[in-house]
Amino acid sequence: MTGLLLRRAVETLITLLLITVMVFGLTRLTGDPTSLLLPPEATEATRAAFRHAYGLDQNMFVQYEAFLIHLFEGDLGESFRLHEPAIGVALDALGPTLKLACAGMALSIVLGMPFGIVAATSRRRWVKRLGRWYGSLGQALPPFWVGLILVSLLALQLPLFPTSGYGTARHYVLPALTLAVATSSSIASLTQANLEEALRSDFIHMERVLGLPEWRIVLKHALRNASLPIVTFLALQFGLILGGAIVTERVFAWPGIGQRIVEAILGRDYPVVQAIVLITATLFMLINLAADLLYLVLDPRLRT
Amino acid sequence: MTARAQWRLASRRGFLATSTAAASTLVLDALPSPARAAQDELRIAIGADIASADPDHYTAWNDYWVYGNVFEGLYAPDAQGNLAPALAQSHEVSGDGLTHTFTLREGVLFHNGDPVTAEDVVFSLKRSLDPATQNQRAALIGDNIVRFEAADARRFVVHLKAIDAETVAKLSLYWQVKPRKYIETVGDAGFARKPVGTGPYELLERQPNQFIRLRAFDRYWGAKPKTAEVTLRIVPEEQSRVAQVMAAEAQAATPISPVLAARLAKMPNLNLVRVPSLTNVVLFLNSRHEQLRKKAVRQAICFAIDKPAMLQSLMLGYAVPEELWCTSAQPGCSLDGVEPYTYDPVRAKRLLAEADFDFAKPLRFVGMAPGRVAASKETCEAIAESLKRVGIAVDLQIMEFGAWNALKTAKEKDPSIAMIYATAPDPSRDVAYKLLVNTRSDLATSWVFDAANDGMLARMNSFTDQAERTAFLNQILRHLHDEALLLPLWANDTLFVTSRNVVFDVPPYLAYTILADVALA
Repeated sequence: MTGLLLRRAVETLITLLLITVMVFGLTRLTGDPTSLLLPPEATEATRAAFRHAYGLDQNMFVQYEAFLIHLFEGDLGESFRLHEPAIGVALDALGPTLKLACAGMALSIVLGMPFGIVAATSRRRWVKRLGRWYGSLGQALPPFWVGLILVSLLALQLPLFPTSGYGTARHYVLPALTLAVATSSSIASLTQANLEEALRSDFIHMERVLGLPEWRIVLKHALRNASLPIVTFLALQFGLILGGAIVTERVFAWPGIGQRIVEAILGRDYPVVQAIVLITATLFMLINLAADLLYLVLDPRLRT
Repeated sequence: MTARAQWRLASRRGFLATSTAAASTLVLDALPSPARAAQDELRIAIGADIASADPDHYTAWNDYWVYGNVFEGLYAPDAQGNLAPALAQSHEVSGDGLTHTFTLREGVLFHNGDPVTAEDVVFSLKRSLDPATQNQRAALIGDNIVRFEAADARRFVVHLKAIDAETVAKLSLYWQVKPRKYIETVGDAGFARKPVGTGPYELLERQPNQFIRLRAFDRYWGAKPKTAEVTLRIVPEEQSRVAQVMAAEAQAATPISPVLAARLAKMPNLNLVRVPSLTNVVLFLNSRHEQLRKKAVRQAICFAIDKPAMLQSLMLGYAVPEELWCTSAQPGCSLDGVEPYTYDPVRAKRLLAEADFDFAKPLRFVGMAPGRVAASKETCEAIAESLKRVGIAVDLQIMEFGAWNALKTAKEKDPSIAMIYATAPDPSRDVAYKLLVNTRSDLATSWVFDAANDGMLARMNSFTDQAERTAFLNQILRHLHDEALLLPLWANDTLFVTSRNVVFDVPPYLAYTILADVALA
C-alpha cells in the first residue's frame, strides 16, 4: 500500500511537471496578450511596459524558469486582466464548480444506478430495452439543449426553480440535473451491462442455490463485483465535470472554473489559465488516486 | 420465491420510495423561492463582469457599468449625451489655449462622506499617470500634460504642451476622481474591493462573475437616481439573460442580438429598447495593397456593396446607417455635398475595368468570428458575396477575436490583406478620438495610410473655436469618404429587453448606460 502511494505520488509529480510545460507553452502560442488586454489607444511604449512588467519580453526558457520557481513558492502570478493573484481567482471559481460537480455526481448516481440495477435484474425485455435507450439517449442529448429545455419547463412554464444564477439550494437543481442527464445515462448503461454479466457468474448461481435473498445477491455480491468499472467511470466523470462543465456553467451563469477559463483563454490571461489547469489537473489526479484506493477496498484480490 | 416477489416484499424499499417522494416535495416547498425584485430594486442581466472596480484598471467599456455610475470626472454626459459640468462647475481656458482651470463644485462628497477637494483631483491624476498603477490609458490622458496642480481647495489647473480640444473629454470620460485619504488608508487592493467615488450610485457589494449591487447615494450633489438599488447580474448566455427577464428575476437584459430582438419584440409582456450607440462597423480598405492603391478600385468596392439591404437582412434594422464615418448626432457629420456610395454594381464594374483591375487575383479579406459584434461573420460573408458579383474574387478569412485583434493592431501590417472588417466605437459624440486611433498611419491600430489625412489629424485638436473645429472634422470625414479609404457600414444599436414596468430614459450615443436614468414604473 505504501509502495503504491509512493509510486503514485512520483507519477503525479512527473505528470504535473509535464502539464506545466504544456500549458505554459500552449498559452504563449495563442498570441500577444497586449492586443486584447490593452485598449486600442495604448501606445507601443505602454505595451512594452506591460510586457516588461509581466516578464513577457524575456525568452520562453527564462519565463518558464521564473514560472517554476514561483510555482514552488505557491505563487502562480497575477491575473493580467483582474490584477489579482491568479491562484486566488482560480480557487474562488473552484468552489462553485466543486459544489456543482458533487451535486451533479450525486444526482447522477441516484438516478443512474437504480435505473441500471432495475434494467439488469428485470426479466422483462422492454425494461432492458428501456435501460439501453436511456443509456444512449442521455449521452446523445447536448447539455446546452438539455439546460435550456429544463429552464423552459421548470423555471419558466412551471416556476419551480430559478432560471440561472448561484446562491441558494434551489439554484443547484437545474444545473445539477443538466449534468446528471448525460452522466446518469452512462452510469445506468454501465451498471446494467456489468451487473448483467456479474449475475451470470457461477458464484451468483451458487448463492441462489444456497437460498440467499435475491436483493442480497444483487446488491451485496453482484453489484460489488460489477462496481470496479463503475468506480473508474465515476472518477473520470468527476474529473471531467471538474475540468469545467463549461456549457452548463454558461447556460446557468454559474461562477465556476469553466467560465473563468474560457474568459482567460479568450483574453490571453496566461496566469489564470495556468492556475486553473494546474489546480484542476492536481485534483483530477487526486481523484484517480482515491479511485485506486477504493478498488483495494472493493476487491481484496488487488491488495496482494 | 421469485425475484419479483422478493422485490415486492421488500417493504422497506417501498416505504423508502414513498417517503423519498414525499420528502422531496417538502424540501422543495421549504426552499426559498427564486427572489423577486423589491419595488425599488432594478435588476439588469448583463453579459460580462467588469475586470476591476478600480477605474485605473480599465480594460473595456463594459467596465463602465461601475466606472460610469460610481465615479465621475470633471464633466459628465447630460440627458442629451453632451458633456456638462459635473465635479467641475466651470472651466476656463487661457488665451493661448495651453492652461485649463477647473473650478470644482462646492459641497460634493465622496461616498464615505469625505469632501472632494482639488487635492483629490491632483492625487487622482498622479495615480492614473503613475507607471506603477499600470493605467492603460495613461498615455491617452496624460501625454499632452506638462504639469498640473491645485491652485487652491477648489481650483485645479492643467498645463498642456499643445492646444487640445479633447482636454475636457479626456478628464471626463476616460478618467475619474478618486478619494486620496481613503486610498492612502485602505491601499489599492482595498480600494478595488470596496471602491468609493462621487457618482449617483455607490457600490454596496460585488461577487466576481455573479453580481454587482449598487445603491443610490443619498448625498449625491446632482439629481437623485430614479431607482434606489440596482443589481447587475452577470449572465454570459444571451438566452439565459432573456429567461431571467421572462421569469421576473431581472427587469432588463443586455446585450441582445438582432435576431433574438426581432422575436422578443413580438412578445406581449416584454419591451425591446433600442439605444442608438456609436459602435461603428467599418470596412478598412488597405491603400497600400497592390490592388487597392488606385482610388477607383476602392470606390468600386464601395459601390458594389448594398449597405441598406445588408442592414435590413443582417441587422434587421437595429443599426443606424452611415455614409460618412459618423452619425447625425455627432458634430461634423453633415452630408451636404457628399456623393453617397449608393449600391451600383454597374458603376463598380466600370470603375474596375477603367482601373485595369486584375480579376484573376483574389483579394484577401479578414473578418471577425461571431460573438463580439452582432452579425459580424454574416456581414463579412455578405460583403464577399457582393464583391464576387462584380467579378472580384475574395479570399475571406473569418478569425477569432484574439487572432483578428492581433492582426489588426500589428505594428507591421500584413501587405497581403486588402480589406479588414472592424468595429471602432466612439466613446463620445466627438469623432476625433476614433479618427485619431484608427486612421493616423503611424499608429498600430490604424489601417489608413494617407499623408493628407495625417496632416489634417495633426491639426484636428488645435482649434479653440468650436464651429471651426466642427467644420474641420467634417473635412476629415469627407476626405476619408471621397478617397474611399474606408467604408462605414452602420452604427449598431445597443439592445435591451425589459419587462413592461421599466422606463429607459438613457441618453443615446454614449458608450455606457447611465443607470440613474432608468426607472421602474
